[in-house]
Formats: sequence, C-alpha cells, structure tokens
Amino acid sequence: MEFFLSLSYKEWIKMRLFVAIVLALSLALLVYIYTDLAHQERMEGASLLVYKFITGYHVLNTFIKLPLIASLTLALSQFLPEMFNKRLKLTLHLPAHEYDIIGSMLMFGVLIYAAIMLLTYVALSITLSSFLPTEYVYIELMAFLLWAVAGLTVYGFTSAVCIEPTLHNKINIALIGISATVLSFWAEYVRATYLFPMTVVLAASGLLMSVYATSRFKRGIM
Amino acid sequence: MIKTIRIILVGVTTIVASIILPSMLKHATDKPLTYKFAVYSELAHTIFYYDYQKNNVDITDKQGNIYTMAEADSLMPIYNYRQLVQMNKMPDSIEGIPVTQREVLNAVHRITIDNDYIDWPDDKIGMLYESMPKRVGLVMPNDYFRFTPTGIEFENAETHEIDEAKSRTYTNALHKNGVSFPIRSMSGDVNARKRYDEGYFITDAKGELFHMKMVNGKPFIRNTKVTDTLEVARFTMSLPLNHNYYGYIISADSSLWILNAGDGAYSLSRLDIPPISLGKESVRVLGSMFYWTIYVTNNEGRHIYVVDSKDLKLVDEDFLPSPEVWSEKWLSKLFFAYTELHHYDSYFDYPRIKFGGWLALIFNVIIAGIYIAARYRRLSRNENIASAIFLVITGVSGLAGLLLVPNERHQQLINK
Repeated sequence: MEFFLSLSYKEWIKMRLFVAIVLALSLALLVYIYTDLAHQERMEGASLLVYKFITGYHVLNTFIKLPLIASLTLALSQFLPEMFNKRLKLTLHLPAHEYDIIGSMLMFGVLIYAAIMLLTYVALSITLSSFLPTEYVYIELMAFLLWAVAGLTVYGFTSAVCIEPTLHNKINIALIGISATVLSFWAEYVRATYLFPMTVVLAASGLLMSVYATSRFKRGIM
Repeated sequence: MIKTIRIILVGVTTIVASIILPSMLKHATDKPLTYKFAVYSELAHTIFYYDYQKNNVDITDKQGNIYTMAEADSLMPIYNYRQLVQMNKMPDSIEGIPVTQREVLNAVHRITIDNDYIDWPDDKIGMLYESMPKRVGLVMPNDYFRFTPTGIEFENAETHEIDEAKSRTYTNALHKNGVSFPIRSMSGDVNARKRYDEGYFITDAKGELFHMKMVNGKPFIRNTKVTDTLEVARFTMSLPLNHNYYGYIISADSSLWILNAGDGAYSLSRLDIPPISLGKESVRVLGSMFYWTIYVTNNEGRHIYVVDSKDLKLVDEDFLPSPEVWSEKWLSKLFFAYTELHHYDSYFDYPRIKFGGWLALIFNVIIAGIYIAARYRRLSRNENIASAIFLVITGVSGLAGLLLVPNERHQQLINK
C-alpha cells in the first residue's frame, strides 16, 4: 500500500495540471448542456422538450468528446514524460516486480480518470433530472457510462503506445488501439445497451497491452 | 505469464479485426438497396414499376411492357392525381365510380408497421392529448404519463411533479374497465402535427387490447375485445384522414389485420396476404381509394401484395429479388467466420459471429501456409501447429492478430 501511495504521489505531480484541465473541460461541457436545455425549455416550452425526447432526440452528443479527450490527456501526461530519456527505466529498477510497478501506475491513472468521470456523472444526473423525465435521464446517463468505459480503451492503448520500445510495434499497437476505440464508440444510446461487455473487454485489453509493453521495455527489446 | 498475456491480446485483436475488416469492406463498397417502386394501376389492373434512375424514370408493368410517363399518368390516375389535376386531365370517374378530390385525398395513407426489429424498445413515456378539443387543432398537453406496475402516473413537464388527482382518476378508470397491470406495451401517435387524436392503444398483462384517450378532460377506456378473435403480437397506431380505422395488428399467427373504427364499436378485418415473419420483415402500406399496396421486405427481397380496399382480398402480387450486394459476395469468399455488430433483425448492436462460406477455408489455408513458411524456423513445432490451426479458422483476422501484437521470440532472435 505504501509503495502504491509513493508511486501515486510521483504520478500525481506529473498529472495534476492536466487533471485540472480535464476537470475544467468537463465543467465547461456541463455548463453548455445546462444552458442548452434551459434555452430550449425557455424558447419552446417544457412539453415540447419532453416530446422531442419521446421522438428520439438526445442531448449528450457533445459529451462523447469528454472521455476521449480526458483519457488521451491523462495517458499522455502520465507516460510521455516517462519516455523522455527513458525515465521509466529508473522506476522499473525499484525493488518491486515490473507488474506491480506498472500496475500501480495504471491503477492510479484509472482511479483519477474514474474520479473525474464519477464527478461528471453525478453533476450530469443532477442537471438532466431538472429538465427530463427519469426514463430519459437514465438513457442519457447509460450512454455516458458506456462512453466513460470506452475512454479506458483509449487510456490503455495510448499508454501502451508510449511505453512500447520499438517504433514499428508502436504503430501496430496504435492500429489495434484505433480499431478498438472505433468499436468502443460504435453505437449510441439505447442501441448500444448490449455493447457493455464488449467495451469492458476492450478496455481491459488496452490496460493489458500496457503491461505487455512494459514487460518488453523492461527486457530491453529494441 | 507473459505468454498468456500475448495469447489473450492476439485473441482480442483477432476479434477486433474480424469486426473492423468486414465492416470496412462493406463501408467502402455498399450501395443503397433500392427497389423499383410498385404501384397498382386501377385501369390496367396490373402492377406497374417506377425505376427512378439518375436522370430519367423507366416505367414498366409486371409483364415487362414499357410505358411513357404520359401513358402511366393516365393508367394510374390515383397515384398521379396531383399531376393530372394540374394538367386538367383528371377523369371524373374511375371504373364507373365518380371520384372527387376530397375522397381521393382522404383515402390516401402511408404507414410503416412496427415490425422491423423483434426487440424494438417500447415507448416508456406518452402524452395524452384532448381528443375532442373545443377548437380545431390539437394542443400539446403540459404533462406526460408513464405506466407504473399498478397504475398510471401523470407528471408535469416543467416541474416533474406528479399530478395525484389526475393519476388517481385514470388509474381508477383503468382498473374499472378491467385493465390488468402491469402493461405490456402501448402504441400511440405523439406527433404534435397529427390531424386528430385517438389517444393510445395498450396491451395489458393478459394480452388484451384497450383503447385509452382523454375526452373532455375525462378518461375514455374501452376493451376492444379483439382477443376474442386473435392474439395481438404487435399493434401499430394509424390515423387515416377518413377516420376509418385505428391501426394495424400483427397477430401471434403472423397475419395482418386492421382494427376498424365504427360508431363506438371495434371490428377486425384481415388483410388477405401470406403470413408476415414477426420482427424480421419491414411492412409498409400505401393505401388509396381503390387498392392498397403492401410492401413486405426481407433479406431475400420485396413482396408486393395488392388488396382491394373494400374487402381486403388479394388482387395481385409480385416478388422483387434483393439486389446482389457486392460486399456480401466477397465476404463469403474472404472470411470463414466474421463478427457483425449490426443486425437486420435487431434494434440493438452487439457482437454476433457470422459464418462466411466454406470457400474461404481455401483462402485461409493459403494464408496459414505463407505465414508458417515465413516463420517456421523461429517458432517451436507446437507453436507452428497452433498458429497453423488458428490461421485456418480465423484467416485474415487471425493474421492481423498475429502480426500486430508484438512477438517476443521474434524480436529477441533479431537482436541476437
């Protein structure tokens, strides 16, 4: 535990500025959603807003960008500095197994990402509940939840691309990552209900790819 | 450990490739699946086809005769009604029956029956309009409703507070008229621009079909009693201009019925067409004064049925085979198995493995052969056998998995 906390502190120093940026972006999007819904309700009336949702309107289309940008920013802020001058080598020389080290680093990144998404989720649910019937709040929130999990795919594969020692394998992993990301964001809203298991598997394999890349890095494959 | 991780990653990449590669092939080559538009001629008594090309329209009949636009206009006066009126060529009577503009326009109706997907998600929220407004034109209500497991709940659209009094009135009325909860499904037209309102049709826990609307602010609930004749699989509400019927029913035995609107009574008429495959065929109806055309489209093609508008008896039918899809043809040659996320019979997207074709196995064997030939020195005997079997089954997708996921052994050998 102490080991995890110390490593986390090191990660936090690298990431804190970017965490603030992502939080600011999330806040900006929330303000946008709120003003947009309030504007529609004022201009068209509350009934028409509900009517639009019954006939298939959705409000979260701008929010799909948040998990994408957040995960990309966090992964880059965490692993890009490690790759300059091969700093990750130092970390891997700590008296612990490479899986524990990279596992802790990834876990910290995932926790930070999850915390940001959780905050956004709560704020979003409060915002939407003041405008929409619970049924539609649920649909929109489930869509956001799926995108939040899909963001982990981006996080895992971006980290793996950073860590992977050889250039041509960086490109290969990027190809897999882009394909997996396309699949993670394949469908939206109700249509994507049953895509959750696949998205979780893809997110997990992204993180696994980072572990795999670290093991290759540790053994000095170039 | 590291070997297990690699095997998992190769597996996941193979699955990802088996979705991405076919969908890229489809995306790059797919053309719209268009059918010639079928119209029944009231005068020639046969089906005509309008084939809309880029710059011209080819008009043929079922027998293959070719017609000019002017000939077609006069042979299908109802379909080309507006054109004929504009040219002052509209006949006063068709087949000896006098026609007026009002009758022709009122009898026209187009509807898509909810049958495209077997698992179409039901509406959870409805809006109950006043069916008999004091003035012409419908006013959008300021509340919406949902069915709870034991009743109905009206909520204010702005404050989202439950209107207790209204909810109680309607719940009591529903119970009094024999509706058993929970409700299975509801069908209604929520469109604010509809000409008139008929509220909702609800299927209750026992499968009975009830009509629910608001008349002068009071609940109007009736059992349609259609379950005496049939079992309702799906109800689609329709609001024709002539107020003749309420909607379409697909019964559990796959036949298509209409629910007639009489004076306070509900009666059924069966459309004399072959059974419809439930949730797997799209069904569209184009109705007019004399004949109704029903388009039933599935994977194989489009069936066209023409029924007489008076007795709904089948008059003519035809079948247009589905245009050949270039990508499907090639997918069956390139992939022994691949994964699809979008399905023709389901509203939801989820991975489903599809069988391509046995021919693709030959292609896979070639891929496996080339791979092993290039790599066999670097792999152990067991690894060679495993890779070969894997590639024969998965083909291109498996190759993507093996090539893209970094290979330990291979790299170390290069370093030496």
